[in-house]
Amino acid sequence: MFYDLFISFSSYPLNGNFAMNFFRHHRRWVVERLGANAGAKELNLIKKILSLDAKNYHAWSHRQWVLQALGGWEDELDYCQQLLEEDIFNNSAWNQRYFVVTRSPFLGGLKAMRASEVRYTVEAILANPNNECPWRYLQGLYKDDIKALVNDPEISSVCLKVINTKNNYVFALKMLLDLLCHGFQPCHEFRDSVVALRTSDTDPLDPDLSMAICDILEHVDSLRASYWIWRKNKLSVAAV
Amino acid sequence: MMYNLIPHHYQSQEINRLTLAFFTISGLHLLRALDRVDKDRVADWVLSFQAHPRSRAELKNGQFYGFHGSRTSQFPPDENGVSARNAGHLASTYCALAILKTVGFNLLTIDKESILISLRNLQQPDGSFMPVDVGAETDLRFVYCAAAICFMLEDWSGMDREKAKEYILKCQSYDGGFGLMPGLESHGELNNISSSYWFMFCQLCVSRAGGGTYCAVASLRLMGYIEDDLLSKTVTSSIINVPLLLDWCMQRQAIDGGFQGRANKPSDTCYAFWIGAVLRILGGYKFIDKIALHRFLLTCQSEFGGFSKYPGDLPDIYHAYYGYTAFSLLEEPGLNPLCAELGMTDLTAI
Repeated sequence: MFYDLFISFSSYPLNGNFAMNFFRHHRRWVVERLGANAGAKELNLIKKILSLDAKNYHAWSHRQWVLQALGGWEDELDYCQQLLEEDIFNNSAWNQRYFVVTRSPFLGGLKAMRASEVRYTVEAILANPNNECPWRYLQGLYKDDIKALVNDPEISSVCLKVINTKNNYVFALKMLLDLLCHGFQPCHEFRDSVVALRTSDTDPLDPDLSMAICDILEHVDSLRASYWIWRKNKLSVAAV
Repeated sequence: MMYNLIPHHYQSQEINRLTLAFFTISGLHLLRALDRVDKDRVADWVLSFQAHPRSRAELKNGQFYGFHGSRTSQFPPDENGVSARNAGHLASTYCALAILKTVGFNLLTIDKESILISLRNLQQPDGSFMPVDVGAETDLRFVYCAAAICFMLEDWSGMDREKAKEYILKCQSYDGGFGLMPGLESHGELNNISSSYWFMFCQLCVSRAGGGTYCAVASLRLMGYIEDDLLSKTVTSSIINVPLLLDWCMQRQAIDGGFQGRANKPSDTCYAFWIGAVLRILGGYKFIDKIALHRFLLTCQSEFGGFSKYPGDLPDIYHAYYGYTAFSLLEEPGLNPLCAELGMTDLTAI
């Protein structure tokens, strides 16, 4: 009951005031003392705020605090799933998914969840290959385990699939480039797919696949042309 | 100037008056127009916000003897001489010192001992900082404020740099950027209360220091943990994942030429500074498309002067200031050069 009184007392500023440091701190002080029940209600309240603004940084910050201080992890992955179904481009939801997968005491940790998460993420990539979030998430699933990233055929395979569509392939090329830099040994199919992206026949493609990818990215991701030229130069220095 | 009263549109920001003053003074300096203010008067006004302990013993009471953000948080002692809560705030202190430096005041003449000894009270066991001694969250914004304060006072006794560094490293996200706290989404700045423009502005002022990625990288640079122009050095020996960070930053430049604070968010004037400054610190600013950025920023320039958050919106002092810093990074003629890690004119270069 006290929680309900507290909420009605402090709820009027919720729409805008969630940004306020002292407001969140005060809520935490009260909720911590009320215990797990209040924690569950607080998670519901934050859901309401996120339904108005699904990327509200302070709301997510507060949500992570509640989960870590008072629990309530059981439904969190489902909640992330729901938000991503509403908007697969919501980076906050992807970040929260990572938070849950890596920290929930009920899921077994990152390695245990990796296979299922890779499958989920690959599906998201194939649906929207121009969405940066799942590509970053995919790489994140192999944080501190680059060898496993390079050796997982699902990763190189999704790159190949997207490149073969000849559409929205920038992130796929970037991922392939990163794999190559970390020692991935491509079969000829990869080179053939990259060659097929060329729109001009005038310049031969660089014999080194990584350099060839940098050349293509310099043109198709021209906003970052200088960056791709620099990446290519670093590759040639490393090759010496 | 707003020594006594601020314009009514900004009165809800009264508690952040020193931050508004910082945007004004530092903005004028970037525009090479500081001759329009009475520098001595500004310095005296800023110094009047310093919280002073009545004795050395009070330095151990946990309160922070830095600067208040406004008169409204300064309480005189009562009739019995008992001082009510009269503590300063980290962000206001950063603003105060930055203003004093800008107007040429010699920082070595202030009571820096009180600031530095009591600053230690705000550092938490995990290395993060609270902005005041009670009732607040701890996160990277205040680590940055602390680092900037120690840097400007040229004295690191105010904080445990190693612990602060450890906290920062925990904030690097799986995508290469930094969140404000471990586990939080990477972004360039603190933004995003969509319901109210003014609340966003308020929060931005209170957290003038900005969000995760800028605070992390600028703090590490100020504390001496990352070298200048890191990208030209051997990257693999760095304490942070620099290639991933660089790639994340580069991806923040959107198709309209502007910079976004997070993936799949709209471009906003201020991120041209928050992300641009990170790239400058790392030595990667040269990779951005400057022409595209310049073009985007001009669409945010207001006919009334200053800059808005988005193209066509009304300007505000925060986005105006970060518009100027962004143009300084672009080396626009007529502007002073920028110190990326302090977010103000590079006084050593002029």
